[in-house]
Amino acid sequence: MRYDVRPAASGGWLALAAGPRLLVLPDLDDPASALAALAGADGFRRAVDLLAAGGLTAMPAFVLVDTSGEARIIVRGEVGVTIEDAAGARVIDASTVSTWVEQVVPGLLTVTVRVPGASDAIARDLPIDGGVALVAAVRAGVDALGSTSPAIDVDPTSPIVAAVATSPGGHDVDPTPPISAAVATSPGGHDVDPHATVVGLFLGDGAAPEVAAGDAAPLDADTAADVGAGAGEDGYDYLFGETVFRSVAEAAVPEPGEEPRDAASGAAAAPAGDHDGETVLTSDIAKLRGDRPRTAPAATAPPPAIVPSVILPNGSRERLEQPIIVGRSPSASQVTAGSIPKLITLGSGDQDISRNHVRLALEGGTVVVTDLHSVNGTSVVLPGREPQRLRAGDSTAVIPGTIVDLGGGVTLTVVED
Amino acid sequence: MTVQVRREFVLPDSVVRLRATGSTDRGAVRAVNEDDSLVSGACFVVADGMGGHEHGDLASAAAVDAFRTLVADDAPARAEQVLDAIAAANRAVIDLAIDRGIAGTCGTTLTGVALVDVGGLAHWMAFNVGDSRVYQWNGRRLEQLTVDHSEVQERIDRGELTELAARTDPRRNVVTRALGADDDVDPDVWIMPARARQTFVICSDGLTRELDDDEIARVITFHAAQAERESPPMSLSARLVGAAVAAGGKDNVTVIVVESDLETDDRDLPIDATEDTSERGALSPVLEDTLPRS
Repeated sequence: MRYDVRPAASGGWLALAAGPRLLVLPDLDDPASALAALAGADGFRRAVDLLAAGGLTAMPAFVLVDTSGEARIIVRGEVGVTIEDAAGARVIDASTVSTWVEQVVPGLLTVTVRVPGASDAIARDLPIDGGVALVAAVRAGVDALGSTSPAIDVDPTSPIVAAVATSPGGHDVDPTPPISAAVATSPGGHDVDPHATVVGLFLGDGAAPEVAAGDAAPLDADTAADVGAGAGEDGYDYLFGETVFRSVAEAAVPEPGEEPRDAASGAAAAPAGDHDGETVLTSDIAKLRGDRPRTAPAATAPPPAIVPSVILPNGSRERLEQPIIVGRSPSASQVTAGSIPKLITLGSGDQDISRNHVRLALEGGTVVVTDLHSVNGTSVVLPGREPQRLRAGDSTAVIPGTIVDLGGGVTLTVVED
Repeated sequence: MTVQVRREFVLPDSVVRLRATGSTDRGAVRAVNEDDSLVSGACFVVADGMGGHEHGDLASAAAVDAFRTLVADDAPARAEQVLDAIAAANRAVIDLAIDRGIAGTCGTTLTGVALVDVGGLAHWMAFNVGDSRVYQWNGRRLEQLTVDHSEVQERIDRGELTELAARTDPRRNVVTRALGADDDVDPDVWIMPARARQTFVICSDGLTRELDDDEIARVITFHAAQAERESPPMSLSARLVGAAVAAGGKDNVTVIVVESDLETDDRDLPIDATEDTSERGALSPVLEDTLPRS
């Protein structure tokens, strides 16, 4: 494999390139030993072990590519991945999946990974044979096939990233901006809202008016004015403590690199626009929606063809159309309207069962069992396997046929019907 | 102004008795009361309107009217009905702004509790959009149930601001969610089984800006003894509103106090608010069985 890297100025991820294998992820404690693991003959398996060490929920976003046999790619989380084979280029989108997407691509030519929210240090690609680099983007090309793919930079939207990073409202300029102060001192501050910038560009492309409607806070202008008034130390509103409103986007001081991620999500999906504009647009929307905090992941995931069910001890079935919380006296705390769980009361006289004992939910097509810090714990028995004990608060993905044991003889069975 | 309701709801295995009072005051400074509230049979809502003197009161009234129309007065609601009512209230505030051609921000907070039926069991559902609050009083301690959608709360959550500093922060009046702000409203929701005896205090920020949680708890603690000496006795909601106005009353103040008693034949229904699952092998099941029943 040959690798071309685009060094990152900010928000870069680590790219570990070792022979036929490439791993891209936000950060690592010990890149050197990870690189050594990746270089071994069983590097693919060892890389997966490394990533999964902390369990599914602790697993970072990553891209893992192995071209030692038939090319295999795993993508987890929000990261822009474009693959190219004889049939052309396409995007692998794992942003709506809670586990990961794995694809086998015979005849793979190139894989391009663009890191969400990263900005380029230079507008050039540097070839490397292997090693570890901090990258905004990286492309792996399969040597033997003599790829002639253009520079990573064909991405027409990368100027967006730059624009956001350097605009007065861009958070890259100052990683810990007192947003409140910025908004307060410049009532017109919403004009440079990175969201608005990106949306505007999408509109310019004739793309995704729906995204624009959703992303642009309709009250922006008034909001800014109100905020200005509210922030004036001697202003009337402050004196009388009148409540004013700002959009969530304005209120949140983003994590460094968070805001530009929207831009980068768009940027990541855009390159393939050369090949198949509509497909890219769809994933674009999905990504932008995925970035909106109010959207519940379960609600955005495309409904799978088959909704699994859970058989309760009394023989009745509960379809997992919404999460279920099972316990002696279950309750739901600070959930959003889109993800209100169904509360199922079981074993009401049984002291072995906690009030909130276990949660089962469909996430990205997989049933995930979560122990809710129950006093006596939860056991999960996958078909043909030894019982697996969930520590307090742990989650695990299960398959149909799995039995969930709450103790006290109370069991649930996951089925696909 | 104080309103009062008493209701009894019969569910398959239990009976829930509610007593609620609601009080409001314009405060000492404001010219208009932009708060509104609903004290109905099974649903209790406070809305704090914002957006200037002409429109804040219209916004909160529109939101409360939507609830009055959609949530039944004479039976426990279903959780979906309450969510529908929140969405309708949001729509009503947006329509109000369009109909009146209101150019500025026109919105309202909305918070409250509703008695809901979940599989035949009585549950309390709390909901919140904005910086009005629901508290629970367990007879000894006051606990804030809802989480404010406010800028200072976000900074507290990030460890950038202490609760104490937030009380005087110049931006403490900035909310991050409100009805009327967006086509989709995103309420926080809590659903919990009804317990033997519960007291909820629902209030606009006119109460919590003047009195901190300890001061509110003190008013509640001494309320019963004070009411005994009064003729006619003052309601707890009126006493809390009066205390906030006396402490400055810089904003409109609205308080609803809901007291609920659950009576059930099912010995296994939870009666205490604490997590009381026993470790296997421990003797503590005895303890739960001997807890007093109301």
